[in-house]
Amino acid sequence: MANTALEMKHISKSFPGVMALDDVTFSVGEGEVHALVGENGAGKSTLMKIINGVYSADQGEIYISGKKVSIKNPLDAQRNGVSIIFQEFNLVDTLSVAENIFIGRLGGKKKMIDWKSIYKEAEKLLKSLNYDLDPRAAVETLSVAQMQMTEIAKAMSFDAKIIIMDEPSAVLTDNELKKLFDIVEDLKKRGITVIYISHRLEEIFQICDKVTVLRDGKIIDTGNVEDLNKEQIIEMMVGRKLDQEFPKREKKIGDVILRAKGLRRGDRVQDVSFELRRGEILGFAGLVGAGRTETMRLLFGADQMTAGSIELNGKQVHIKSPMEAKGEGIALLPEDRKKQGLLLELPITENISLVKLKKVMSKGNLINKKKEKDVAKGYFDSLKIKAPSVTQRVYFLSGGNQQKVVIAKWLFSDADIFILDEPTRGIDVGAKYEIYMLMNELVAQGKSIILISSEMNEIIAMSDRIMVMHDGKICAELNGEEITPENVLKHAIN
Amino acid sequence: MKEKISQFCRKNIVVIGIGILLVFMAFAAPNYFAYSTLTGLLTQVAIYGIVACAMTIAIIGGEFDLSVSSILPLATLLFAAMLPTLGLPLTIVVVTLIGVGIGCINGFFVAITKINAFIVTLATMIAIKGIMLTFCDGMPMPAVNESARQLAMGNVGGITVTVMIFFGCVILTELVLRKTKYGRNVFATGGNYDVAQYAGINVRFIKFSLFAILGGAAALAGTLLTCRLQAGSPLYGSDVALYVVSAAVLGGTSLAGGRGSAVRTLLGMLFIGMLLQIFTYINVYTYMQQLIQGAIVVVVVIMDALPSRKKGSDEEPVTVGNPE
Repeated sequence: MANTALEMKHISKSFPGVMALDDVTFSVGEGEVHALVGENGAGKSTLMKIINGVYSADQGEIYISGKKVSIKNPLDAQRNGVSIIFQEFNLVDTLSVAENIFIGRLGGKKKMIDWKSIYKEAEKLLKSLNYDLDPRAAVETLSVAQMQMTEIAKAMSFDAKIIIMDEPSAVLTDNELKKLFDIVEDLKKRGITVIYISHRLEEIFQICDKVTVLRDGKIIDTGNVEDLNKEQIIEMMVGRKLDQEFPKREKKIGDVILRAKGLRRGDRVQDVSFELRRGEILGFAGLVGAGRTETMRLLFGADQMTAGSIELNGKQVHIKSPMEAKGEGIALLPEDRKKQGLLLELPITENISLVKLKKVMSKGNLINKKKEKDVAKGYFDSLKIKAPSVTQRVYFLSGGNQQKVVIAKWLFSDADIFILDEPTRGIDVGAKYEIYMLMNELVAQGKSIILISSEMNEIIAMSDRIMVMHDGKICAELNGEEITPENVLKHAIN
Repeated sequence: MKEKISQFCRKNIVVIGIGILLVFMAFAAPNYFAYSTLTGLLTQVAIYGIVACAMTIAIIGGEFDLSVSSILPLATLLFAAMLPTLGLPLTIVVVTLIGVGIGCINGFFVAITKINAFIVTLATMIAIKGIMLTFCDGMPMPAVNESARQLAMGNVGGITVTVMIFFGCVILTELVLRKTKYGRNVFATGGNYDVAQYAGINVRFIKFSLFAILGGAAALAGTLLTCRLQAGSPLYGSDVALYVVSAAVLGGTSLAGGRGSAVRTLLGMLFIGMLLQIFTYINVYTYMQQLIQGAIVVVVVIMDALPSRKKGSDEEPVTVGNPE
């Protein structure tokens, strides 16, 4: 490779409580297909968002084609020939391909849009890329691969020199994957540099020239793909020992409390069966979109299963709504606590009591504010929630403290089974530890936990057993000695 | 400090508004300050006030109902039609129940089939209007009845029975909202539907019930209006929806749901009522009054959107850690 297309020197970026990128130096040659791999949380997305101007780096410099540039926002990135294609596309479904390509620039400076020339231009562009796409087709009628083509055409219309693809294959079928490879191959021929972010290592061996591994915000290594094998890359990705991040506990595992048989819903959840025991933490591992959250929504009655059955304590139950799930003693701590877990406008007290108002009512079925406050105060102290008072609106709490409020809420509900979906996402290390302690306390009391987590360390250290999901199916059950990062990753990537 | 003052103003806009009106009247018409003005004002707002209470609950629950503008006049006609045969107490009960029934239809479409409330209630509003106009050919129907008149106009020291009923509604609404499980669940459902659902609240029932209550309240208000006016007409009370929604929003109930209070809605009703009184005092032309009323609604809704727009921006005060 003669010239470097992109060079990032000594980039650092920290978020409250996390060092997301630590002195990252990274360069990509012109016309190269460069893979960027790493576990969830390794800093890939942060790095890409810095190139794209969504975040600004605390330190470091970016060079494009040897020239130092300052990228403050996505528009700057566009001007410098950098385009990013996100996994969930930036397309307006109801508009046509041409409109999406030229969105924001329709009509240029004129007031009226000259549709004829727009479509002609789009057709010319698509033809030059050899994409068989009707510029008049609405995006919602396209296949995923065609949407990708639209995104790339959009990038090319900006004269992009560097195209970043964030998990482009995660949602593709095998057939579409071949098309994606053709597209990438073709971009390369045109001298476009592609940064390819993926969890699927075998793809990297098929289409990438170089690979860079990120871990914990640091570059571990950059190498030629030819010189490496899959095991070496996985080792670099995982590479660290599990240290004292996780509190120990004594295992006291009892009888089966929940048995799911052949759960099914569309192709997101296919024939999922598992058992959960009293006092057990059952981990669910897998890539984003593997169907873990969807499976839990079935257990919780938030979605309806098309087939399968659930047994609780040996009795078959039909859970048709979260209300019924609560009645059966199942609690769900959703992935997105702000959107699904908390009433941000209400104080801590009212968030906690919401699930079991009966417990804070006095005679005459009226809410007893004092009782409510006492209850909240109890959790406030025992969970060490940091806030000026229990009447503070949840909106003003930090992520970790918000999560503690969600947990307090479900502790208050007297549930037996806790489904925790990414319970420590966006939480700093100290608060994480406290949440792990809480999980240990719960199982010590004979409650059961289903833990969904994309953080490898967490799921390995906390789970007694791990179910690995892939494409809506359970593809492995790992016990005891089998629980290793390599094993989990191998099955998750499949 | 500046921030605090602006927040205080925004929160108490209705109190400030009433203050401004009072100061204005102190100069423009000092004889405005009489006991009879107050009782007159209360009598004037009481009937719509009953609907406003129900609307406050609905808005807190994240919903909205235009069809009260048809349910109320329909109730006046039904009342006028039934009174001679059923007698006063039974007529009130039957008409109110019919209102609840219509509310249930709205509730069904919104809560169960998940159609937007604006569309559903607009449709029922127009449909009922059509039925009314067919039914009575647009003419008023007399309902002359002494005990009915007594019910509306009978008073203790100028405070009419209707006003007492209105106050009763405000207290009841406030109690339900603050002190009962149902009220708390309404706040939760309106504040965030997903959170409420995940907390095991029967969100569909909550949504459904909002409309049933509204239908009942509008019909009850219709019966009281007929008692007072001694007639029913498709035109009576056909402006109630906008009136009560603006009163609620003026009082600080958020159109986004999850926030509000009945007492503040009462203040909102008083503000609008005073404004209309003042218009009469200073001889503002009726159609002009409507223009001003419309303008107030727009201003109030913009004010409602302002703080939430600020909140809805990407600036988050909480610390977000994980960059992934």
